[in-house]
Amino acid sequence: MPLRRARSYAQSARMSAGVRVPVRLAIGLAVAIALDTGLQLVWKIGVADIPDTSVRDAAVAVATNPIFILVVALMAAQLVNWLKVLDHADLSYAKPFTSLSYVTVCTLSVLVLGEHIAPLQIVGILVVVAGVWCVSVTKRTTLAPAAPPAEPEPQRAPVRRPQPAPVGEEAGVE
Amino acid sequence: MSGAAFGVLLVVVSTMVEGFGQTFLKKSAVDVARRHRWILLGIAVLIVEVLLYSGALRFLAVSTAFPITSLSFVMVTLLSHWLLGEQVTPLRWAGVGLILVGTSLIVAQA
Repeated sequence: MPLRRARSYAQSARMSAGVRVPVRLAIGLAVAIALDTGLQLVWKIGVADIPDTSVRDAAVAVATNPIFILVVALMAAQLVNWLKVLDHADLSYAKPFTSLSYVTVCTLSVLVLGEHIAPLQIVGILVVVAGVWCVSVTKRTTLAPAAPPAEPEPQRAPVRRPQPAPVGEEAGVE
Repeated sequence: MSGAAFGVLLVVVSTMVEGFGQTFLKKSAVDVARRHRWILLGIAVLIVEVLLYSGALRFLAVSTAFPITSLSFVMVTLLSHWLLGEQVTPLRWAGVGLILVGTSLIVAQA
């Protein structure tokens, strides 16, 4: 049984390296956008309940309202999920996708919270998404400077390796 | 100052604070001798950012406040260029310009 289990793990690891990673990455990015969206909506709902009588009242309200535990939990989940995403993708690849949360947050704030968005704000949000995409998709440059041009190598005569002698039936395979 | 203008101000300040927080966290990776000091400073600054953004949500709709937080990309780009000496590509400067235009349109209707 342990041997079979070990084989199963090895097979699973091969599949995860070859096939499952893109699916896992897509799920991770979708979860990142969903957590971002949920966090913003819950945060807004929680803040709306804070009394503005005094700082002390506000602090007590934050400490006693369970919705802020949910806010902190969503922040923690967001961090953990984001680190998992970065295990499977470069930051410059993953980050632009999260700009879609600007669209999802604004859409759900209208549908769930009944907020109103002016047409010019919709244009602004789309321009912001394009801008974040341009900023994020840029590859890092300072930490990975271009390699200095290599000096031309002297031409060498190709090394001739001794060909293995044909052995039995395998001789004609390659 | 109207409530909406004050809310916009809080979000803008919170994005500036986040820019410094991210820069401090990056400093922790560069200045290894004072790594813990930079990390603590970065975390402290990010807590201030959370408080400022919470204040902003009192005065603004989340559909207005959240897109304005994209200014943090502008701040991080500027501070990493000025304080850390990182190179910024033309595409990234174009992105900074688009974010400034987009947030201006959102703030104009706030």
